[in-house]
Amino acid sequence: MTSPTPAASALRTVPAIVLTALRLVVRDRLGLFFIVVLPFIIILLFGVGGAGIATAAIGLAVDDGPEASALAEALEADAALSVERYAEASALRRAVRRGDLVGGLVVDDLEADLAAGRTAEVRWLADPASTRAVATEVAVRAVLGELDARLTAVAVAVDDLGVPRADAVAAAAETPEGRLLGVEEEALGDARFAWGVDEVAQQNAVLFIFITGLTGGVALIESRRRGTARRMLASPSSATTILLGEGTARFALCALQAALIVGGAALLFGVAWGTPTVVVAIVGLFCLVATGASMLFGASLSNPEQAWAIAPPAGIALGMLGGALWPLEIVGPTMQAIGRLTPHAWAIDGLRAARAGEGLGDVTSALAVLAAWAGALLVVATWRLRRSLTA
Amino acid sequence: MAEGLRAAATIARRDLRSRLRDRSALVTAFAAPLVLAVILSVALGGPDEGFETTIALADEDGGSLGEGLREALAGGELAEIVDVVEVADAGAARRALADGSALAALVVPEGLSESLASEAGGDLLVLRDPDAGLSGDLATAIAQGAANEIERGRLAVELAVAAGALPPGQGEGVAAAARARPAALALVDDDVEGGLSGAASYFGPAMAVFFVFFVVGAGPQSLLRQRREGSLARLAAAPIPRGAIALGTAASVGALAFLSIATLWLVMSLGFGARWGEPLGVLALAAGVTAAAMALTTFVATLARTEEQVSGWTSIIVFTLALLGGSFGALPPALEPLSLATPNGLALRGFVDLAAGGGLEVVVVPVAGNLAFAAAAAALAAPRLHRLVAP
Repeated sequence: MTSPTPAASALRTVPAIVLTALRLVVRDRLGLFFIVVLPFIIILLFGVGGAGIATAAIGLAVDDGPEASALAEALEADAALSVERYAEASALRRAVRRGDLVGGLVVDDLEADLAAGRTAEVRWLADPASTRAVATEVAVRAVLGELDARLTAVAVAVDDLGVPRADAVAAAAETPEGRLLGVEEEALGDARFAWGVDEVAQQNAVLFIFITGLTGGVALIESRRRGTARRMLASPSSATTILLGEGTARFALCALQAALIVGGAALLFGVAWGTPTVVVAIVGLFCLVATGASMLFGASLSNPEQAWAIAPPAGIALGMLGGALWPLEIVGPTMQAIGRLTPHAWAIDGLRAARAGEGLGDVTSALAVLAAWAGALLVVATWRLRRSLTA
Repeated sequence: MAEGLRAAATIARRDLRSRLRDRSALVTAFAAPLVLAVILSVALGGPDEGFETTIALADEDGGSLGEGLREALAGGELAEIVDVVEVADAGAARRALADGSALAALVVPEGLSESLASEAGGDLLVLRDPDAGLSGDLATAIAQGAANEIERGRLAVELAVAAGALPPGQGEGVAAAARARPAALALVDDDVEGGLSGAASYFGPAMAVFFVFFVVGAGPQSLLRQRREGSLARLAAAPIPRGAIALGTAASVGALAFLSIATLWLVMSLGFGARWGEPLGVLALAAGVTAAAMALTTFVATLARTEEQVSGWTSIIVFTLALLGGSFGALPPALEPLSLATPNGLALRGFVDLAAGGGLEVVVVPVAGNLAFAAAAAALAAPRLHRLVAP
């Protein structure tokens, strides 16, 4: 009987290690929750739930009066706005703070100011950091512009032409609509980033592949602590075979997570992932990055409790920085630059390109950065793990 | 009774001391919530690095409208945030958007001034890059400003005609008077506290509440571990009531939860200008959510058989509650009731209202809700509680 060549032995051992690792995951209901259920809850809550809110709720705090009613009516007539009246400016401010309203309008002396021909100040209460509030302000400004034109026309008739106020107001109501000068908007191309289920699914794929990778590293700590890997060295398996097996097992886990999210989101929510070659290349490389991180994590920490305490927050933190919880477009330049240091941002870039129908040639920089990350992490992790096995 | 309390106090002290030396407890109670709260606040709250954009102006018309737009762009605040590039025509403006040298464009089509003078009307064209929504909004607002000015003149003339007060040949004079009049309504920005300190006032409590569940969840888990390791059995040999062991452990994790919340409060206030509001209210909310978390995690622990199950189930429940409760961002308004059905959502609602300047009355419902939640979970746990402290 000849002893098997190292290559043949590796061929048998590696799949065995992979299968064992996957079997352990499937048997662990907790692991399954994080891998199978949680990503879809998030896509459902933030992707499907968050999409398609057509009108922006705004509040209006102004003392009752004819001009106030006209203001409320004009705002209400805008299809993009729904208006809620507030008696107290402080209650309105709180509702805006709380996020119940996109913004609020407060006018202190509307009737008195207009009657005296003074400019009535309309305060727009909004969180300046909210992009939705900025867009809503444009709609509000347009409505106020219309109203302002009407009020100005009345004032000119009263002040400059001596028309009695009541007559001027009556005439204003009869003046035909129809602006001379309109504004036509034209969007050039489709948005690369559009909030919705597609974007959230992409973010989640990246977020969860990485978190699954990190938590997969916990099993490695267990096996190091129990000495399983060391004992395997006593078998005819070489350290290389064992490392290859452990690495492949982590990769298989990440790939399983990726396949679940990509396939599940496509089936359940109709997410169109785009160019298949780009999706496979980007997701595959990112799984390698997660594998490297997983093995480095598993090689560096000494007890599973620490790992469980660190892995989810660390995965979430990197996801936040890299645009896997919100698009990097909404953060400032500094945070964007920091985000670019994470592999997450590049993976999301690549996935967006795939969705836009771009090919492999268009995502070379994303592929290169991910490959570099994967290479660096895998080399360092392998070196550390080998040392912990053979030292 | 007094002896039992003394024993509980001793256990609590020793337990807390050993927790403060345990690295995973320190990560869960301090490092992780702080890191996540800081990233969330800085990313979503600014710091405001100043919005700047480039808008292309294509004045094909060469009349007064283009002149007005040029003046609007060069005046006041706009001049500081907008760079204007003049291009020859709409085609050049499209190219500028395509190559990224401008983020939005204003086009005054040829002959527009003339067709306004002849009352035929027409449109200003705004070209938008869908990925630069803010710049597009700004360009639209500028165009609408110009359109409104024309509208003021038109309306004033129409109204004067309708009121029978237009002196013959005075149309242009009336229109000019209307255009020159100060605005009847002026929209002024009144920022609701947002930006960095606003975000820190939201995400500080959000992360504090999220991690409180992990911090107090460690209590029942440590009881299970002590039972496995046999230290509970040894304690049972001493004249200590079983309740004292549970009470001592609860007091220690409760104290750690308070330390965790207090640390976040301090760091977010001193470092990021957060204002959580009325201190008594903050303490009451912290107590309410800690009680709810303690009862809930204890209930989970009484159901599970092994420590792994407890920690697994606890993380599943905690992540789900955090997502629903808005710890990682508020849910869409339609799902708000779902949010308020969780201890996290209730507590966060209280924290937001407090930060918005609410008095103690705003925490009554959240605290009462969380205490009711705690009572319900405790009632469910009570019949099985002996399992946790039985030697």
